[in-house]
Amino acid sequence: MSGSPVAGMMMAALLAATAAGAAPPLRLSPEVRAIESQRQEVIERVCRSTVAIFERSAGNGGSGVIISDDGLVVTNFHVTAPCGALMLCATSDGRVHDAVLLGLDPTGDIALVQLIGEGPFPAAEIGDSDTVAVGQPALVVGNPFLLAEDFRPTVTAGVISGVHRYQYPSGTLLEYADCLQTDAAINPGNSGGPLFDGSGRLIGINGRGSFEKRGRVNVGVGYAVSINQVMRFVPGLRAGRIADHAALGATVATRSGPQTIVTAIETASDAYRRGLRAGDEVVSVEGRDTPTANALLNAVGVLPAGWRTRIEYRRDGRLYEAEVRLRELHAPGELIAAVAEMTPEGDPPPEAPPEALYSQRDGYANYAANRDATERLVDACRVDSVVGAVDRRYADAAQGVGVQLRLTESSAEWLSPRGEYSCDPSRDLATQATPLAAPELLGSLWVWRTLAAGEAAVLDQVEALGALPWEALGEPHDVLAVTHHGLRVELYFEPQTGRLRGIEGSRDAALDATRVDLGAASQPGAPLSSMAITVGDRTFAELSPAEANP
Amino acid sequence: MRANHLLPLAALAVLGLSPPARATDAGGAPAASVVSNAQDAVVKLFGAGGVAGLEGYQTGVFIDDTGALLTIDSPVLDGGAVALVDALGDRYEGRVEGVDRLTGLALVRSESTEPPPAWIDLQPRDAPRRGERLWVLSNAFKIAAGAEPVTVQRARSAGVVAMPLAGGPLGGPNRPPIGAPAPGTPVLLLDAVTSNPGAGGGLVLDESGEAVGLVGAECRAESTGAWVNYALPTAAVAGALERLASGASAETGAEVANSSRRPFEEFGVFLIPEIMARTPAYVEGVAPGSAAETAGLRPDDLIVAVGGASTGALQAARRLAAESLRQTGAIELLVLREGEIVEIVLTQPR
Repeated sequence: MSGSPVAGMMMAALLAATAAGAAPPLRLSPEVRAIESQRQEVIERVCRSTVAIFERSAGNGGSGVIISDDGLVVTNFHVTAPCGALMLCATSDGRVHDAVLLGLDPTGDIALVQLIGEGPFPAAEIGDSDTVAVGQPALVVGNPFLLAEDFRPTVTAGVISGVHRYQYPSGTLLEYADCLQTDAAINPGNSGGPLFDGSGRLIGINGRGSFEKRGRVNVGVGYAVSINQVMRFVPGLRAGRIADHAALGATVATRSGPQTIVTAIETASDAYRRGLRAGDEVVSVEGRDTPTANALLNAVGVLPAGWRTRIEYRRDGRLYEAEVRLRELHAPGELIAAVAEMTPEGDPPPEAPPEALYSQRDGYANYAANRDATERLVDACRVDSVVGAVDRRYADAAQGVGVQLRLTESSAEWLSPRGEYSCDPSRDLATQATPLAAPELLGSLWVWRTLAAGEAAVLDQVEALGALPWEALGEPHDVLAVTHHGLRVELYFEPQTGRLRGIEGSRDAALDATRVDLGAASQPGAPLSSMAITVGDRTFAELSPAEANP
Repeated sequence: MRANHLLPLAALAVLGLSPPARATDAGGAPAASVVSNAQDAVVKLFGAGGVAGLEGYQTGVFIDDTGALLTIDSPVLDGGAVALVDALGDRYEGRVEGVDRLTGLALVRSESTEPPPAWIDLQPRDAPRRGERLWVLSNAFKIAAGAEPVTVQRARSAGVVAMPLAGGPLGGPNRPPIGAPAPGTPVLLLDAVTSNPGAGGGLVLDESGEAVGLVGAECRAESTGAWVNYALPTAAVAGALERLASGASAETGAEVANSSRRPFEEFGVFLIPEIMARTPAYVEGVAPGSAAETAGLRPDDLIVAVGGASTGALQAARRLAAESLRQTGAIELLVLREGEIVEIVLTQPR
């Protein structure tokens, strides 16, 4: 069929344009050039930190993003699940790397993976997803429909369509709290890939869309897990864990106003012990206003289990404030079962990952990663001066008395005019509640001495937990968790200095823990020089070094 | 308290001014404040449905301070009453006042005694330029609950065309679609996936925050399965409001089309009679000595585009011609003659 006259006319017009090629080239204003070259630079940069993830048999796949130059990659759990422990990650320069699974967050659908090979890797710049506003430009980069055969990722552009979205759990576990919504095209294969802002800062991990009757293709409605949530979980995932999300331990409903009202609360929750009751209005959590049930689910759902936070609540017109420790969202074993269900069974991979990088143990995504992280923290516990016994004298400002603390390999003693207490660590620690007002105190201090003296091997279980704040609204600390003879002891280390900040001992999640605050200014190498000891809202002792030993 | 706080804000929205960005917009694009102002006039509608693939929710936009709002006709409005959730999260009843058959728009009145948080003046304005950047706000997929702001999408105008489809998700071969504009109605095509469950009645803005249209009902071509992403431009909205006000809400599309200006006849062009909804725009005759004859138009020419916008049906050709005449004083046509496309420009003789 011959071309229509219209097409002919267009051809003529094109040819005329070519003939007039001698005319001066189109001049762009310097401003336009600058914006365009910046845009090109951003796209170039965001592509470099995006990876394509494949099953080793090259069946399933998805996308991911490099978040540190030593090769940590964040992706979706549902992308890594069919791959098992070992997978392939392709960078945009065309190289294919082996990669090993580190940790899993099944609730947030997040997996952390370690690239194996020569670094440094081009890490994405981490943004602050809490400051993202509706209407801002957004870039989605990834491997939709597994198109990137040369591993150059696909880039789609759009805007932020919504922030603080709450997406109800789909199926059993998956919950998208406080996620970002974008109209940049997200298709199957984009899962696990990055959402960037217009400056190329990483603000989210794409993984879900509204599809319904259009089929599984982009409809201009995609969701990304906020990067702030992801980064809170990264330390725990890096430690090889299957991480759980936080829960308040209460159910809430939105009433007109709007207000968020507690409809029921578990008596075993810390929130209950700190005074929250059914009928109270929750005003804020973690410094975020919670006028609706969705807002509360958003504020809590982005936090790892065990997170210490501040809640504000109103009763009879009066505002109360409390510091609470959030519990786990899931029952013990629930996440492990879910992970097992999604992970391929039977045949071990033909090439097993090196034992140094991966080992399997029930309850962990990668036990080798946990072992390494645990070793680092156990080393940080060592105090050269603690070789044999610890024998120190303090002044207790809370009671106005002197206290002598003695910790040895086989005992812990607290001697003061108020009373003399001791515990025998060879017996069950949970039942030796002395002193009664701080039942976990002596067991916790004995655990610390054991670690400080380099005797961790005698403890039942020692493992890196991830990062949790020692104080509500404070920065997260690296946490080492010890379980020994019925007692659970957590030690909090400042991430930059490695300095021990506090020790928390508990026997039962339904009871208040004993907290030993070593102060923000304690000297490295001389921990336990000062201690503020609290149980729930009560102060048990405030110890500072005695002026001179008598 | 509410009126004091909100009325000035609403007034700003109406004037298209951008008040200082809110605290939450710190660091945001200036565009974000345009969008967040308009959010206050958008309302979430909940009504019948929620079963058998029918959504029980959609979008509406307040158009004045009395609580009148426009949305699209759909099964959600069955029963004549809907639940409204405004931008503040306040919930009240709404009553359906009328439906305009030509555009598929429905007028709903809020039963609240308070003025709405904000409203949008849907004065007719020129359609956006092709390629112009637009914002689309809608309650798509019922993502936003309570006071949460609805989904914001970016789109570009792909031009104003005559509504090509008679079908829709609910319109089988023998059943007219509910809420879809009559074929030939001028609609604003969008280049983004804006036609989603619940998006109908959503607000389309230009970059300055001025309203350019309302998202139409979901429509799907029966032959290709493609969904059309489109909005009803403000001119069509104004027409719908006029008809609704005059009580002509039951008027059919053909009646409305026939009552409007007859641009072709002014140039001496006679089209074939409109015997069915999608009558093609064939030229039946050209008056001797007329401007149309001078321009080279002949009987049996089929008009396939007017003013650069393709048109499938007679009604659309008339409407676009009237629009083109009003704007430029001329009508540019592409006609199909013996398998070839011929360009004809009708200009008024001096």
